[in-house]
Amino acid sequence: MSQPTKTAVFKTARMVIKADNACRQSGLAVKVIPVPPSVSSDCGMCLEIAAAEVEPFKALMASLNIEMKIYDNNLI
Amino acid sequence: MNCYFDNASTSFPKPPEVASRISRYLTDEGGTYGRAAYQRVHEATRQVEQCRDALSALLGVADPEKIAFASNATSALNTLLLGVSSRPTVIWVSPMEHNAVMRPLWHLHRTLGIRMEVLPAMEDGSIDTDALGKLPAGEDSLFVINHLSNVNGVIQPMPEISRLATSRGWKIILDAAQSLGEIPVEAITWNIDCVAFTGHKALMGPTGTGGFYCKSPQELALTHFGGTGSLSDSYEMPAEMPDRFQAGTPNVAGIVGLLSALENRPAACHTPSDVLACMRELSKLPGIKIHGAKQSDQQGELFSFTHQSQPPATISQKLFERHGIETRSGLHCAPLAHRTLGTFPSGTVRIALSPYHTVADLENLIKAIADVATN
Repeated sequence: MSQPTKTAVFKTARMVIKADNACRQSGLAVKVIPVPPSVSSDCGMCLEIAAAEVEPFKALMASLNIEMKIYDNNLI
Repeated sequence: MNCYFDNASTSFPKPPEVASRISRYLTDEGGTYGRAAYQRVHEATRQVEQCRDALSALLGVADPEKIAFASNATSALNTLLLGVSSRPTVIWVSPMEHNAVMRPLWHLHRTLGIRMEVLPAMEDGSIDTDALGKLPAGEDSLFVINHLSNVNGVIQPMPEISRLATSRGWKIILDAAQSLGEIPVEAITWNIDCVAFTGHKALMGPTGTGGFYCKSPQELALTHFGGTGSLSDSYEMPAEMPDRFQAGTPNVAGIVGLLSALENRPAACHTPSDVLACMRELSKLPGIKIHGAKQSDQQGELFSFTHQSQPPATISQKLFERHGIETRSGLHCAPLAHRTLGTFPSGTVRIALSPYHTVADLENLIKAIADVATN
């Protein structure tokens, strides 16, 4: 993604997969990336999303009761 | 001719897609679960979660997160029984329990003094729901129910049992090792607290797979600890499901195989009536006694028999040596069930079908048993 992005971090790998599947079905472009070390020492995965699509992304996650936190990549 | 009648031990053959799917994972795909973000791990993780979703649908569960994988039903039952944190006053078991339940419970009885009682039952081990309704309601009780007996195939009347248990506030752990995949298991509809299952029997997946569903996993004490790929900076286990009960790398090769089994279940080559007809024919043979459910609608796809003079092990060996028919004889790791049926300590010969058996296979079985019973 060349445009500004944000990072969505989840509590479990299952939630990452669930969110990834939901985004693909809804046409939201996301990318599975490693969890940035400045966010967490988790060895797992998280999602990168275009900053412009954060609001529909948040709405989609809320509709599925998927808990996550969004980080500004310029702050990571 | 399909001569393998030991499907209650482990199903065979598996749907061919199971082996090819495992081979593809081991040969081409690889990847661990949730520990990194590259494509191989992402795909392996996605398939593990797809399997969890499929199992959730099969169990009628709305929250797949509440399903944790284990290496088999025994391991799952250990986690559930040893993790019951609010110790009940009494644990009631069905009269058909397997040692996967009885040994952990015996450990709880010896170490914590928890009382064990056997539920009132009919002659075939089916729980007597009339008598069940008369049990004292005040006690803090846990029920452990073997859904489909691995000895005589009796299916417990779960809708009625769960209705009575729910009305009295009793909790239920359901051992669905033999039932899930063969008959409906409605965890939510029946208000079951926990269900343990295996992947390699009626689900027709590989050995080394299984797991459990728990309605309130936060009430279950942990018995296993380790890495989950989440909250890695802490020595505490994560509170979130499924990670809470998923310490260590899951059996990804087995789980993708189980997923393939769930997606490629074969249509049955015989009907329940064919099984009942087979049992009737066998019961006519001289010296043969059939051990099954008294009510035909409570009969699963397995049953046992004994011979009036030949021990089960002798019959089983003759069936194999003369006819290539594979059966399991003895106590089937279920001494309580055999005590209930009056077949302890010598046990029975067990016939356990798979969807692949045809009517011709059953006819061949009847001829073979007729031969060994009379010679």
